[in-house]
Amino acid sequence: MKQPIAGLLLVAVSQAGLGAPDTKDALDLNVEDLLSVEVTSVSKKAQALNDSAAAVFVITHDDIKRTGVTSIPEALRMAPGMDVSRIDSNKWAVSARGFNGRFANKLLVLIDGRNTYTRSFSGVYWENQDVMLEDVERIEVIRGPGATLWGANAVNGVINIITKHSAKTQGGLAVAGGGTEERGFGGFRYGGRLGEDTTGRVYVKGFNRDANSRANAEPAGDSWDKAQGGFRLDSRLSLQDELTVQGDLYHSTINQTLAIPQIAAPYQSQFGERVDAYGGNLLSRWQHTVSTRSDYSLQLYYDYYRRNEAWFSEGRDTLDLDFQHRFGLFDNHEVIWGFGYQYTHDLTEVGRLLRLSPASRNDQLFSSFIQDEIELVDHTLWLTLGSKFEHNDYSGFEGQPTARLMWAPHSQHRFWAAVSRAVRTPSRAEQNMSILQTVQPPQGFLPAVAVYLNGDRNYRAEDVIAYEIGYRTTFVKALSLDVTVFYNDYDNLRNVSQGGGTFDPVSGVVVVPLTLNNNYQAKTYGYEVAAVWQMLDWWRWDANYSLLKSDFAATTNFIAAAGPQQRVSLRSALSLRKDLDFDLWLRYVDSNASVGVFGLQHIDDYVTMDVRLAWRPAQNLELSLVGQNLLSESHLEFRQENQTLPTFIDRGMYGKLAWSF
Amino acid sequence: MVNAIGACALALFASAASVCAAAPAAFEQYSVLAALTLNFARFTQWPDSAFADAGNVLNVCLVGDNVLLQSFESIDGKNVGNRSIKIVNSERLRNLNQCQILFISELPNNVLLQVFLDTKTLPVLTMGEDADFAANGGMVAMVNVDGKIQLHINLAAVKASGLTISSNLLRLAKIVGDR
Repeated sequence: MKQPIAGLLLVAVSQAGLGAPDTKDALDLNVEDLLSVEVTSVSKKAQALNDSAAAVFVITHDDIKRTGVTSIPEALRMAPGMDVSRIDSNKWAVSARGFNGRFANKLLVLIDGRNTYTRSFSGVYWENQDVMLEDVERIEVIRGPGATLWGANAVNGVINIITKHSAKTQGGLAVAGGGTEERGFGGFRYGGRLGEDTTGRVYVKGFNRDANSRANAEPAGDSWDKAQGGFRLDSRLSLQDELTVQGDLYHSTINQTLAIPQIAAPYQSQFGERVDAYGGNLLSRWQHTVSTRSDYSLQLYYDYYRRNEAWFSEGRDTLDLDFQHRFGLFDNHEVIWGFGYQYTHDLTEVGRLLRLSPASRNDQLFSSFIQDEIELVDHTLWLTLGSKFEHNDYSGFEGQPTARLMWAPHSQHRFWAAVSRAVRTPSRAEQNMSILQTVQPPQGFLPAVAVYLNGDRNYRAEDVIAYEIGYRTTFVKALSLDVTVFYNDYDNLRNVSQGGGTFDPVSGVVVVPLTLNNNYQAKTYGYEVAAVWQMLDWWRWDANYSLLKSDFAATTNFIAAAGPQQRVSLRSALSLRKDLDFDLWLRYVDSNASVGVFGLQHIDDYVTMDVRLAWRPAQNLELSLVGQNLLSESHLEFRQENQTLPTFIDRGMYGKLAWSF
Repeated sequence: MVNAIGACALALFASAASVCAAAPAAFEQYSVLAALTLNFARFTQWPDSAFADAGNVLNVCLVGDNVLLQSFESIDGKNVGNRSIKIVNSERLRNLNQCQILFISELPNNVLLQVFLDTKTLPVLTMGEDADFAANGGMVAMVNVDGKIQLHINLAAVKASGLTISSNLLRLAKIVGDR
């Protein structure tokens, strides 16, 4: 494969010289000519600079299509600073700037304004979150704290998944395909006009994904299937009022193999199970525009999910209300403020590993925020000050301030710097759990030892002070560069203390309790570089490199891993003809370690590549062939903190047909 | 398998190279939009009241990113009758009544509609770049349809503001109705 790539590059370089854009000025043309020349807007992505004083990376609808990714976490691999590791077919570990794990807890993820965070472990069940990828407008990936606007949990990053307005998804779209790993999938969306000022769409989608492999190439028993449907309605109530109502329902059957300890012989149990996970949500948002510099919105949503697993079962209802008001003050202030209320209720059942007590709990969250963006020098220098204040039932009152400065000395250069504090509030598990972590079989006359990890009601919030500086430029035509350097100082991180063992005469084992506490500190630092180069009108390169260094105090019981030190993503998007796309995506991930009940697990570095070839025989029909993880039969990306055995992600191929009408 | 893909890519590439060599060089969209905007400045008549505070400049206000600002630098200072064009960065949507032309590249839909409401009776020529722009109350949309720019003009909105666009431009445009 290496030689053809080198060949492509050589041809490309020679073409770059020949195909240089001509120097004839558009201003020399008359109107008729201007309306008949061929125009191109392809280089916009390579030239447009983001104006926010934060590390923002945008994954567009086109990026999603051209990489051939089939899920949200896979799409997030495109962003610098993101650590996306697939644990098995239906589980991912996703984090930004370190601290990754299945139960990673420092990233906030929103889908159309709905928080997908679960209080259970202060993270996201990625296998529950899906959208019709063809209807996604963009995914904004913000590394670093976003706590001021978005709230707790936005410690290392915020992900905003934004679907298209229903006016932009009119008509029908049918997609279908299948292959080796993506066994079969299909989706159907139809959008229509329901009156003069109302548009809407409905969709259904479903897929079946194959199991991956163990190290010995045996199937890992991790196949899954899912069916999901939903709708969105957008109605213009008046020139100044818009109402959006949307919702989704899903059901998935997840297969997994659990390897868990037990306190009776043989002290370890391994079995396959089928898990039902289902849920839904309903969201409405009303937006009123007061003037060009002032609008407010009121959003209400309800979300429900339930999952029943052998080790633990839980269901959760969440009701959330948010108000937000943006307005211009004097000539140079742009103020945004708001408040929110969230009520959440859970119902859990003891499983073979985990018990929460009480089994059911109702919690409330009150929050408010204010942020002022001040234009200190016209179109050149901006200062943003703000803070979030919240009160939750776990750690009480929390304040999360930020200060950001943005300097644009020239239209092609942006410098920014920020200092922020963010907190990660305790999860339900951290305060109320008791989980059987390991069991050591009896040795000689000594009884078995069962180690339990227990939550603590005094467990507090973790916090970070984050320092960031960044620079963006498009100093060369059709080339943009975005560099961010960060330093994160964490305090009150999770750690455990070991209590004395006691003999339990009922079960005949010695019980050793580990209790969570907040007495751990860490520092991480590094940088991320992202570049877009529109080499030719029909050939674009997207590259990024991320470096993460960590400075962890030595400890015996620390249960978090920093993540791979280096990640590289290199994408080539080539449109040979208007009806042909050829895409390559090369990824390198440095060696990694995951930490859990199995001890420290080393994971080798890997290089992998995806390829996509698409042909549009007619304007509304696209046929594509996608190869994923092509460079090896299978590779290990991560190992979950507990329960699951190492699963190697298999190479896959699939074909897809998309027809719009 | 991998080798097959590589070979296939090369074959496709060879055919593409010839296609590319034959294709005429394309213009960048925003430089064409800037040139068209200059023509609108020259072929539109504003009521005298529009220039009450303007002196001898014609303000072209821009709402958009750095790509837009850089492209429109090419028409800064160009003469239009006895006035010259001045490019104004109006990202913050302040003092829109000083604009003779307001080019909006990107705005949330609700804010865009509010701009149309606010400028409805002002002699401001609103210009944008997608078909919905003119359909929803904007005056001129320069729409990229399959790689060529089409003009959509909402004549009712133009007239309501007391502006007159020369028939030289109107005959090249698709006239769309106000909703």
